Amino acid sequence: MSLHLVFSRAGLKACCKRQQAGDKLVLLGNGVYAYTEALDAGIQPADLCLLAPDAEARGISGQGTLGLAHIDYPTLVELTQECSPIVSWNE
Amino acid sequence: MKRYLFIISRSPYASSHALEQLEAAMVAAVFEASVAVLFRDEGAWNLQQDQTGGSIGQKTLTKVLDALPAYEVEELYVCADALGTLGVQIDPSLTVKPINLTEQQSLISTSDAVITAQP
Repeated sequence: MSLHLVFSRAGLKACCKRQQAGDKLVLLGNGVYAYTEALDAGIQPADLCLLAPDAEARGISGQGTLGLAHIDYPTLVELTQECSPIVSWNE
Repeated sequence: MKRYLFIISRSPYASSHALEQLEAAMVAAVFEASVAVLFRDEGAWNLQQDQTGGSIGQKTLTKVLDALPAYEVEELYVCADALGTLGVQIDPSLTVKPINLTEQQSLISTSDAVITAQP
């Protein structure tokens, strides 16, 4: 199972085309703005999470993202240990 | 043997992204890793024929690509969609395999490490 680290909307677009069902996606940095697009692209809510500090900083931890996991840095580290390979999408 | 995939997503010359990725790929191959390179989106422009980087005082990227087999980087792939959309004419000296998105998915998932670097 791969872990995709998505840093931007353009990155999400490139990622969605090349990820496989069951892969994990973490939205971080400006990537957190793209959570609706990730869901629209067919990413399962269970496979999608936001880095909580980045989402909170940008004021998008409310309503729409409530069904999604908000993870902290230790959880992100755990994911990097569980998944391979790890792919960054940061355009 | 570890399998590394380098993904190049930027066109040449405007930034050093492609050159740096290729240099890293060659270093990985020297350390006996199995190395593949995927050109996607604007990155497909790196394969364009008739490049002359000297015109803007830079290295011609095609020369670096030509050198890859000498470093045992022999698996070169390009996103077939990008080729079609951009109209890239691949340099005839290069052996590059166009692959679709499904093939790119499995290329990624069968790699031990995927290096995309900062664009």
